Amino acid sequence: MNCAEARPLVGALVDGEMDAVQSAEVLRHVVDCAACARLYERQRVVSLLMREQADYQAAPPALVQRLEAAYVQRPRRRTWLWTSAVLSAAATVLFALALGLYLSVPSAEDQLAQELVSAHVRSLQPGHLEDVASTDQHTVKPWFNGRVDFAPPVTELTADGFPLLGGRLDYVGGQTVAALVYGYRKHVINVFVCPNRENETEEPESRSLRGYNLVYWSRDGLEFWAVSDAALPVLEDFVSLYRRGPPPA
Amino acid sequence: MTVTESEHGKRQRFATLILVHRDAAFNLALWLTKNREDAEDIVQEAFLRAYKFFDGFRGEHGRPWLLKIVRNTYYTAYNKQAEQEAVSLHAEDGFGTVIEPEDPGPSPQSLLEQADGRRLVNDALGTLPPAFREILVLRELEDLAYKDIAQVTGLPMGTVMSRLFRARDMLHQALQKSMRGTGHELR
Repeated sequence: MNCAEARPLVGALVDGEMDAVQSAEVLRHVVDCAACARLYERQRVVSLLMREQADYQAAPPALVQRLEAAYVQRPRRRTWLWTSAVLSAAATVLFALALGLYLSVPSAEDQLAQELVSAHVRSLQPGHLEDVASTDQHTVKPWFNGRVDFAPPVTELTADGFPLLGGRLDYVGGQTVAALVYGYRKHVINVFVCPNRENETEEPESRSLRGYNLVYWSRDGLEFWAVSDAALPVLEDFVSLYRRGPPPA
Repeated sequence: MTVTESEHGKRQRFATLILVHRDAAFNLALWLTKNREDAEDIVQEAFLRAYKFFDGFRGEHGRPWLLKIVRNTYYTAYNKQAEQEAVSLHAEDGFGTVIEPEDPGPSPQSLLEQADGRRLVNDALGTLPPAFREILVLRELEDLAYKDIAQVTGLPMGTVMSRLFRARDMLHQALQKSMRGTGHELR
């Protein structure tokens, strides 16, 4: 083997990427050739320095939280929710019973909150935020006719700093829901709306989950969840303004 | 509201096979962008794509599959120029352009013992163009075999070898230059 043949393989020798026969041939040349030996040494030293001293940066905790929010489901709560789904398919009485249990066991609601945060995060993917992109409530609201069997209230709040961006159908926990999309500066606020079979009225409550904020309430036969990474006071302001909007048709 | 079986299964598999490699994804993104915020954006975008394309993942190794997506996200979103630059810098056979001088100058190996050795190595790596930085990261920090580097970068094997060779040489030169600049002793 001569220099011209050995030079391209010196790196592979450092990296152990050749079979025994080829390695031995290259090594034999390197041992005998001062120029190629220096070349081998250069490659080896750089490899060593990289491995010993170059930084390997782990994903920061906030990023990990966001990734887990989008992609990880907590399995231990799933069993309960599966059961509650079975119960809710039965008669109203049984559903009320399940609801009673639901209220006293936090895990089902946690599961739902996680699902909503995941849906929110996935909606931020380019092209996935709106099915109907319009800042006009008179375009967005009727878009839902025939697509869902309820009428999500749509309010324009541009003057308050929350422009309407559009709407879409989303699929959360096995159910089709309406999503109204609002903006706040660089943040997105998703308002998920679905029917509330119990026709309860519940005042807004807030919670935070994995760096995201949620405000939820129900009235007029609908259940609302506002989800955003905007600060909680901002989200709560938004919710007050949104709730003050025109009553559902 | 409930989670359907198949969606749950998909998330489980995604978490086990892909999400587990988030550090590798972030590290590569950070070395490519040299900016923490951009690196986080790239990682999030890459995971979105990975999730979207996860049905096409046939159970081969998750790490090269994910890193390929990270790297493509970087080049398409941030730096369409970089690949072209690497090609033009490297127009001829990279092995032939390295002339080994009689007096090779200070060996960077002494950096292993110097207090500021780490900083010099990291700074020098940062001066390399992205295409050369990435191949060093993939080989030395991720310990990927040549064939996996070929998968991640989409380069033919021969180019992987010549680019890696060239990248090491460039880093060597950058280190020698900074060692002379900081007055490190010749060895």
